[in-house]
Amino acid sequence: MATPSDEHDLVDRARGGDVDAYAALLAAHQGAARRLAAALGGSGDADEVTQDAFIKAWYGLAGFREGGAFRPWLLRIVANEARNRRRAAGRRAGYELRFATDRAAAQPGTAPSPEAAVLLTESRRSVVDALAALPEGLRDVVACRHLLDLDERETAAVLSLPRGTVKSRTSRGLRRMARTLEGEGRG
Amino acid sequence: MDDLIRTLADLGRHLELPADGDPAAAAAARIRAHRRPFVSASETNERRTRTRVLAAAAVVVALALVLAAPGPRGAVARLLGVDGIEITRGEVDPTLSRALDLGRPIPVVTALDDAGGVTVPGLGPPDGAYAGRPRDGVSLVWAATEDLPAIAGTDTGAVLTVFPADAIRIGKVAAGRTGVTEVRVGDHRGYWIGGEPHEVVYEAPDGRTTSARLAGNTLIWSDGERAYRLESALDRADALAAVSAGG
Repeated sequence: MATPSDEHDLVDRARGGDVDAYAALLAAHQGAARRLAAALGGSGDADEVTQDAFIKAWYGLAGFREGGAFRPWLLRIVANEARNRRRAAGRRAGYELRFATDRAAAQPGTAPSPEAAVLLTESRRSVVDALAALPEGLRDVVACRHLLDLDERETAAVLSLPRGTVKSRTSRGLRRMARTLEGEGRG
Repeated sequence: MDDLIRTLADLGRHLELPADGDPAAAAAARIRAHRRPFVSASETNERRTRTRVLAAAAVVVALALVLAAPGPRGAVARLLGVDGIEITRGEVDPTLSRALDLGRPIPVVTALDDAGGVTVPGLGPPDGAYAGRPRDGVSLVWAATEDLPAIAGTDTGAVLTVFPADAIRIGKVAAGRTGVTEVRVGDHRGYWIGGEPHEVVYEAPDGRTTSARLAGNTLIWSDGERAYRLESALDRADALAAVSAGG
């Protein structure tokens, strides 16, 4: 992992036109970028969204504030690309997240029965459906905070929202999801 | 609620992504193949030199066609402009729409390709792109933000339109109260058109107008190969700084 000073050096070189330096920066952050693209735009186009965002970020490097943090800047561009793509697709494309459900269903240290595994998988699917049913302003915040485990500050930076808005939307989103799940008989 | 949060975290750890996906390598390969990091106005001098003679000849012909063609602008007090764009003084129709007329939406990366990598470095990555207005042109669009106020009558913060400079494709009609000032954009001559709204017309090859609208503050310039038009609510200094950032 690059240290902050390494990263600043890479950013400086990338701003000077060094594609290798830029590629090194992308490689360091592409895991987070791909997960963010999937969480906000759905799993199907995640890599395409990420790639396009990386290219757009290259063209925007001159606007990157010198000495600033590269990761939230890059992730904000990924988030914008994912949301723009999602809006452009409109109703033609749903929000679909894919999970490695067999591994997600397994509890650490235990081997659930086939019936229990099915119930766990269904339970998780209900949570995903409840997340997908949220208005996008709430869904994006809940996805960043709890699906991706970004803290409030980074969520605010990535989604270009005030921290207070992140906090209130997180609460509202979780409450709505809980109500939806209660309506389905899941507490 | 805690149960829900734990389930979301668990799902997040198992979010499935394509096993062999490497968008970082793919993006770097595309950049190496086609792109420069960003091209500000001052970096396009080489291309201008290469095409200046050809473009200048084409502009002379195009201007002759435009001047010969019947147009809506009435009396022409004087003629200014750069390759691909002409500015005339005349009456502006105040009833025209302020809505942007940029053509059909296209992917931003396609527009960046078509624009030869030219963007507005100071504004960061564009938020959208369009093609077809004017003909053979692409427009990069930035949404309005706290730092980038909206162009009057729109929710857009800035539009950079790039198109071939081999013929007049955009005409501008500036009323008496609209300021038209010659500026330098990097190494290139350009004009700042500010103050009262001016009229923008897209022109067909025969010089006829295909549409018209009112526009706000605009910076225009050309490198001989392409013409550039940046419309925003920025003042002249901020627009020039945004175009030249990093150049």
